Amino acid sequence: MVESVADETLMLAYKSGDVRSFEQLVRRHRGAVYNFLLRLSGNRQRAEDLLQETWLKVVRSAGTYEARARFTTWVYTIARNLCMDAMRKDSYRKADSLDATQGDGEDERALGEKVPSPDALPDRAAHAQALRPVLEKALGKLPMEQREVFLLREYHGVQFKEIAQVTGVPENTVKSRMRYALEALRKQLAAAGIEGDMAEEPKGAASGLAG
Amino acid sequence: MVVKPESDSCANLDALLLDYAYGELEDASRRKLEDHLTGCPRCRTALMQVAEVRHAMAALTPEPAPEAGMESLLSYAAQAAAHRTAQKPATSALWRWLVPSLSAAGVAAVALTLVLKPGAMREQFAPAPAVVARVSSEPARANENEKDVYKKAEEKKAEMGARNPADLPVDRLEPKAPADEPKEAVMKAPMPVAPAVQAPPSPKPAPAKVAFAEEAKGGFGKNQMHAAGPGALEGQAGDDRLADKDGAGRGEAQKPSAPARPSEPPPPPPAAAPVPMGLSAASPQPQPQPDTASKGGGTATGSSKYPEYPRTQQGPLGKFDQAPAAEAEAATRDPSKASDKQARKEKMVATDFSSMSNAGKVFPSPTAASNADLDENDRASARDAKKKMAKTEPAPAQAKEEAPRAQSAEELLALAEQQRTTGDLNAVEATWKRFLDRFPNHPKAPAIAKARVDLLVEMKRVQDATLARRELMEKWPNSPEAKAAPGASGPRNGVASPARAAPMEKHRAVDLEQVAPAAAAH
Repeated sequence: MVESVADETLMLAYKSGDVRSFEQLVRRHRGAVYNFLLRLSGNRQRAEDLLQETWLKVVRSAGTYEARARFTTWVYTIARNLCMDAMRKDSYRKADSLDATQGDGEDERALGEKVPSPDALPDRAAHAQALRPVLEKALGKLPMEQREVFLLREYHGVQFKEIAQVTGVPENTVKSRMRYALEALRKQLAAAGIEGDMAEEPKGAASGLAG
Repeated sequence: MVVKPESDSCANLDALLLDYAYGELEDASRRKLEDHLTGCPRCRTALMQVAEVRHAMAALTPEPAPEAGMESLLSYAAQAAAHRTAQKPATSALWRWLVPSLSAAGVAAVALTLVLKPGAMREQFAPAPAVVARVSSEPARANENEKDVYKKAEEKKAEMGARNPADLPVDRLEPKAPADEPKEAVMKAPMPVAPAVQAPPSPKPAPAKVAFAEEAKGGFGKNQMHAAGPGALEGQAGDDRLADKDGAGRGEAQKPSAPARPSEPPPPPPAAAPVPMGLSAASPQPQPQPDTASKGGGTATGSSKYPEYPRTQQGPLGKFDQAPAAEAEAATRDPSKASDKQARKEKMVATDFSSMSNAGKVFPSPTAASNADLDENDRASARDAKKKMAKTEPAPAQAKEEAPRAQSAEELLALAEQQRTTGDLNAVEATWKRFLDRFPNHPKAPAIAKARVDLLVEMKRVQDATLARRELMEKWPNSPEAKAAPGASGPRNGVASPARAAPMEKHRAVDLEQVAPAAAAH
């Protein structure tokens, strides 16, 4: 029903005063933005703060919003820039938090433990649960510019040319960062003894975080 | 991405592997690449590796976002939307400049009408207090039955192009809020602005109030909302890359004219200001609120709104603050009018209270005022209620003792500070005035009153300065500011010679009804 209304339409509706449209938008994308920020910052509290900031910024920028780009691209841009700023501002702390949440085993579990995988098979869920810390660690070790590209493409379905918009670099650069990211991840996963089981389709990947 | 026919080599197609892996390739290119893959193990391996990583990383499933902050976010969004739509008509700087000028003009016109047709005035404005009371005492419970009327009123309102900030979706408010919010609306009422001059209505006034109410009770989890207003916050809005690219973010966000803070309700929307009858005599519909305005805002409505005020002072002060020149002039021409007005004022207060008792039953919202039938109905019920009220409604004023909490004293003062930094003296003055009206017992009130006097002198608003000084003397007679006032501002008062005639300079409490003619006589 409401899901059929385009994001951009909703945003324009909010721009002209319809608050319910905004609520729809938030409900639609809040989870995805949160997970993006969570994986990008590697810190749950920070992700929560940045999530709020992101949407507040959407509100504040609504008056000048024009549907030139996809709404999601725009929101990810805001979220990404806020996150980068925050992490730049206290880079020392950023290092700490990354280390703390993703660097060593215990905290990694803290980051992932609460999360059941909703619609997966039980054994697969258990598998994912066990893998989670390793995967988070692998992600956390990616340089930011690779991590953001990988996250957006892998978990949020953002196309490369849109990622170029979000990150402000040419599409070719985005792709080469993506290649580096994939290669780095592959090496880390291999080092951790995780091999992609090619007997199965990597189906969950693209749609997994879309909501 | 399209593969050119000649780019069949591995190196060229390799660039497409990512697109292919993520399903971004168009059909033609995809087929071409797939053809290539069948005969190229190297590319197949590369693709396989991508797929493996993707497969492994898919185990990292999303976490649910915390609900925290959701409510405050939506409140803020609602408020911002209302703020935005309210500001569209005119930039707020222009608005702030216009309000005092126009309100003065409007009140002058009404006062003139009063002089010329005293009787007609009373008749015309009779229903007004009831409406005001209805607005301010609208009980939340009444809303269930009134949804329909709301809708009708909405439509009506849309037709009229009227915008009334008191028209709230009260069902989202705290039980107490409805009493508070409308007051806020009424408080803005005493600024009559010719609607023709002011810009069109904004369709969504209500949410701002809602947000406001929620925020007032601490709705914002993130205190950045309080630390800086939309003005300041919007200042940051431009720093996303994309937003800048798109020209978003900066533009209106950084206008210095957006000093309003989130906790502050948007500036009085154009059409929300009552239309003085004298200016819109042709209007076929009863316009209740003008009455409050024409009566000086502080009279009937004032006394019911701010029970903490001594009633004898409040009316006159409000009135003179609104239209010093006009009122004084009116009083001068017809000295007997003072007592006449006083009597009428008291009568209206009574009506005001009485109509409160059944306010919720008949009228959902002030928008109903635009419905002539309903209005007639209301008059009748107000009359009935008036009879009952003496017995059954012991002290309606007390019900409002919880007073306008909507905007705290500190917030108003901070706002004034902010406005001061932008050099918008009219706005500063208006904010201080609002502060003084609402928090006369605030410890800083005398100081602010004094500062306001000085500001008005500085702005060469002689009459207003005179009256403000008078107000200072009367309301806070024992404050050091009041005692210092004559001496301190006396010298600068060369411009404001009429003020010197005021007996107040002798530190006496003066009945403004009597002083006004004297001051105007000069």
